[in-house]
Amino acid sequence: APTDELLSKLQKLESMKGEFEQMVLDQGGTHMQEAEGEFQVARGNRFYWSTEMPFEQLAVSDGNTVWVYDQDLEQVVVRPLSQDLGQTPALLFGGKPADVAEAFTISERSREAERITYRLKPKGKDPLFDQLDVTFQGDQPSSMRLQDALGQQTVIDFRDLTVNSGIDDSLFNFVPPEGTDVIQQQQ
Amino acid sequence: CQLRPTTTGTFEHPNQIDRWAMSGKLGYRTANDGGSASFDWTQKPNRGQIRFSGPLGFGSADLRWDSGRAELITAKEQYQARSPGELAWHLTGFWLPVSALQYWARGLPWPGAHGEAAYDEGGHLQTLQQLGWSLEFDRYQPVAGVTLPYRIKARQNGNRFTLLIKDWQPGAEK
Repeated sequence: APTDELLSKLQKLESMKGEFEQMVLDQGGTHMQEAEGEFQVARGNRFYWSTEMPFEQLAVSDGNTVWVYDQDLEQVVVRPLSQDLGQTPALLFGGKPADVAEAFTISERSREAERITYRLKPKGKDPLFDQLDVTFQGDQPSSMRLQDALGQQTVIDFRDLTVNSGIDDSLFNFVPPEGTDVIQQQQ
Repeated sequence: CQLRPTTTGTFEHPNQIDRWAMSGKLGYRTANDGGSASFDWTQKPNRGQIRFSGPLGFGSADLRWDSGRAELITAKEQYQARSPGELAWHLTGFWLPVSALQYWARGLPWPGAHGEAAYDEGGHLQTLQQLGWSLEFDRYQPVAGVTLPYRIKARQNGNRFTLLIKDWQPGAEK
């Protein structure tokens, strides 16, 4: 079944790192924003998501706390990591696979030889997105497509992926530079 | 309809620009909360639309207005009001003076209220006190023959916002 198949693929992923290209489309499919950068994700709900273009923005989680740092704005928002996968898609790869089955209803959307796309619908209440499609090429994730309630789509393509090796643990922590406005959010 | 502004090449003065497409980032901060969102702003003389999306592109909101009517649509709610500024409160936690922002974003004081402005040697607006906000225009960029703001920092007692304009496409009546 799709659920077991996806979970077994996630089970094999202890960590992954590489580059991403992200595109945001409005519900009419009009191209709105493009971004690219590099990322690391590791089991234990840890991620490092550094967007370089068009804006520098850094999202870091050490498994308990999430920092979202905007260099141009000289501002960092600090909040507890929401265990709710519906709020933090990066946790699809960094969370415990069993949690994924709990957080989403999973179905198979398409299959062409080794290229399989799973459709995940969050079960939690008012998630950030209504639907998450994740595509695997064999055992390696290749892209994600998220759609929110307004029909806005965010497509993330992964490139130059390294799986289960070469992770720099120091990146899963963030210390705001001098003069950064720190905004503490409860949840 | 497509709000594509007409780009007529170059301008002599920012107040000749009466329509545009502009994208950037808004950081906002109240005493106990704050956040950031990227925005796509399309403006015509009597109609405007700002689409916000949260960090990593999620949590989008759509603010539209014309004279006397404004609407904000988020993933969870729809709000109506007379002015966009009132509605922006749902996003930032304070009344974002959107009508004044249409002038501030071009480096101009808002004609609708008294303001104390200070200019740098190049004649660009450097600081402005208006509508209870104290604004600092600390970075500019050349666009279509004029110089337009790249970063505006604004403060009003406990509230603060930073407007970062990355991509300017000004236009005007042919």
